[in-house]
Amino acid sequence: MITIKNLPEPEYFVGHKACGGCGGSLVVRWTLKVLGERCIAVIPAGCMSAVGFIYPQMALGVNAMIAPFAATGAVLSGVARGLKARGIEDVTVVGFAGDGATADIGLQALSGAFDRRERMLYICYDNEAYMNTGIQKSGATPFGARTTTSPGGYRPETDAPKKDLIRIAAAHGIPYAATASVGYANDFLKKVQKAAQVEGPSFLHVFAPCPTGWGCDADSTVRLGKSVVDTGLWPLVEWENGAVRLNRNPARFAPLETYTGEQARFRRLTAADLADLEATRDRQWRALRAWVRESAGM
Amino acid sequence: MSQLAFLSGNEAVAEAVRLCRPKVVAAYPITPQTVVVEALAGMVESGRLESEFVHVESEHSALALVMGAAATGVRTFTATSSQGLLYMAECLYYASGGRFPLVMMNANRALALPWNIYGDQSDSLALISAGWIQAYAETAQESLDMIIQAYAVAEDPAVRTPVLVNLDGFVLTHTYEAVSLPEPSEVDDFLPPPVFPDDYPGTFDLARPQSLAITAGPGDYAVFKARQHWAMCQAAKHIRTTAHAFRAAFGRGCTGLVEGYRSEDAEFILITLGSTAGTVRVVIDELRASGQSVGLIRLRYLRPFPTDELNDALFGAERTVAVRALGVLEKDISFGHQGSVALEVKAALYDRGAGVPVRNFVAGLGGQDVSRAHLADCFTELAATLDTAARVASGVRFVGLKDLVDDHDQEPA
Amino acid sequence: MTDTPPDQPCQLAPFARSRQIDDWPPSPQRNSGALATSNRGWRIRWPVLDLATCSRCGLCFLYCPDAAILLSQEGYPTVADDWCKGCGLCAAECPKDSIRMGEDGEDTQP
Repeated sequence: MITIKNLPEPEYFVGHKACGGCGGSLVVRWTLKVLGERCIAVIPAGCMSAVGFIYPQMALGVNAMIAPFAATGAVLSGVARGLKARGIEDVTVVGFAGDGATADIGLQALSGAFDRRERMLYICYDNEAYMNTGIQKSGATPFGARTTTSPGGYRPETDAPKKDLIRIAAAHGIPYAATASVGYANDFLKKVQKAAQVEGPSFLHVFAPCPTGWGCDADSTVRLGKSVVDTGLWPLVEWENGAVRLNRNPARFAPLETYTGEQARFRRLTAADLADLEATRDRQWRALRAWVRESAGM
Repeated sequence: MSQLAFLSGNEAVAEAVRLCRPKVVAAYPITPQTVVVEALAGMVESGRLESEFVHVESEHSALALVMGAAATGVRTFTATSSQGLLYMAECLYYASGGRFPLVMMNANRALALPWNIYGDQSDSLALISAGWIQAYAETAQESLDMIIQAYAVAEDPAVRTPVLVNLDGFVLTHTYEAVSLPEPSEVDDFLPPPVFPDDYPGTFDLARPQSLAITAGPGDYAVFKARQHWAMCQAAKHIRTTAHAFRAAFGRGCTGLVEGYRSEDAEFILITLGSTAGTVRVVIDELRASGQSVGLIRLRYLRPFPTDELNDALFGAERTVAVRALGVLEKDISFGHQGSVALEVKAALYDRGAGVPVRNFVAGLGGQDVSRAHLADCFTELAATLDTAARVASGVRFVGLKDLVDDHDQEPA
Repeated sequence: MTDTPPDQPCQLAPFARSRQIDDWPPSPQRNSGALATSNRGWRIRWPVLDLATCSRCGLCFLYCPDAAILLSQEGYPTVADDWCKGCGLCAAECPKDSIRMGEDGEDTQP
């Protein structure tokens, strides 16, 4: 088992042009260290493709290609089927897509690939807005967050939380889906290894802070990756062949301000907003715990 | 040896694809392309075709998927039509820019709105600049032959440009004719293997990892695009040599990007594409019998555009009679201007300084019947184009509109 | 299959665009890990390491988004001049406060 203590030495994501402290680039770097050289990465239009393949600077050390924005799931499928047709079985096919490319424009292709049980690992690095185009609101932007298209802070019509990708993935009945965060590296590394080993599609939804888009310090990425979990805003969940497990199930959460307070995008949140956010979080956790019980047949 | 089979255009395409042994087939159903997909699914299920058949959730995914498969170095196939072709439009540019050697069949069909499932060429002509070689078949036999040749051309290392083989919706896709079906071994001998060599450009390499479909900034981008353009221009030569090789191997088929019919001694020539050419041939024979000097030139490929071949056919040394007027007959209109093919033809002629009048006949939109009488009218009207004033005033002629409305020849004031 | 790969992937190697168009990549592609430009100019500060207090936990190496912290055989960090963007994650996550963000160009191991 690869952990933070024995992370493989070879680097496969170097020289990219991501902003300092980029969470998404940590996700790519760590994943490729785990998967090693025999893998093919598919990355749609978005931050990681924009920063990784600018001729003549090829930051990925493995086979890789940029996919059309909406087509990550489809291109992954094509690569997987091509390898299968050639009888190549020991190559991991991995996708790295942002939240917009996953929850919005690429959801249809992802659903198709899940439904066909393609042998692929799909990783959504979620920085909660369209960062590459300049921080516009996406289907994964949380309540209250300022983006350039929700300048006063995103106020959904209802109190619905952001798109629940883990449930969407699980609803397809795929063998493995999990959430993770760059703040909990061992948990992430373990999940990448599990996800890479299952037959059929696997899905990781990874919290990946964006200092540029969130208005926080470039050195806060890992800290926020921890506090978002500790405040209960980003549950660490694993779905494995129909069973749901909470990797962390705290009796008490850290105060929300320990997470929101560091980020300019949440500056306009009022005390009432924070109370709403807390209520929504608690409701989500009740639903999550019910889901765990239900999946265990209780 | 090859055998005769009674096939529709769609079925001929499916049989051709089977013979070419693609390793991955992905397609999304749309009328009137569905028969191809259904036939291929059946072939894979029965074992007649050994391939990964992928049920995709959209046309966009279909083309994106075969791109991903081609990047692993295998031959692929997909097919679409109309709204589907436009839905995957982004991926057409992507595939040609990435130099993926794909082959796709398109059932030419009208575009909504109004909704209409019948044949016209608005779909593929809307994407004429997408960087795909565009072929237009006249018969089911030619459809089969074009598919086989398309793989040879697309995968040629000097070309590496995707090919779109167009069949007129219903008129060709659903019409049956006797088709000569090659033996699998004959096609195996004609085509390279369906798994590309390890060092084939634009594919992953497990020994020396490659980054594909990359970004290029201002400057670098233009170099990649110039190379793409020149590869497409070079493709004309490869289309011809491939057609000659096909003729040598199978004993049939045109060898040029254009084909003439009784045109060398014709004063009035209709230029058209696709299955309509068949009806034009019949009308020409009839009009010739009554002493009229009429002929046909059929554009088999619109990209690369056969500028030289077309000019040679119209003004070259082989001619015995000078051309007096040309008509371009197409199932398409570029709104606010003329038909796309007429614009292409005029540009090709203008560059050579040809001063022959050209009339644009737009026919068969949304499956409207193109009858022998309509075509005879076109030839009659060509004579009128000798009067320049009349030509300029009349603009585009919507053939067959007079069957429905009386004031068909006037734009509303 | 295109241009000559660098001796080691992910190492900066000189690159000159060819003046001959036929020498350009045959499609928009290049060897993975072929690096032509340094990120050195991005930073205004960079890590200054106090190896005396370093516990060799490797968290700085783990958390660097740019793979700009290299570990020696003994497990001590060094900074990759070409790739450090000066984000400060290594310093922020160092449990021993053995890293501070100093001026760019300052000796990283005083």
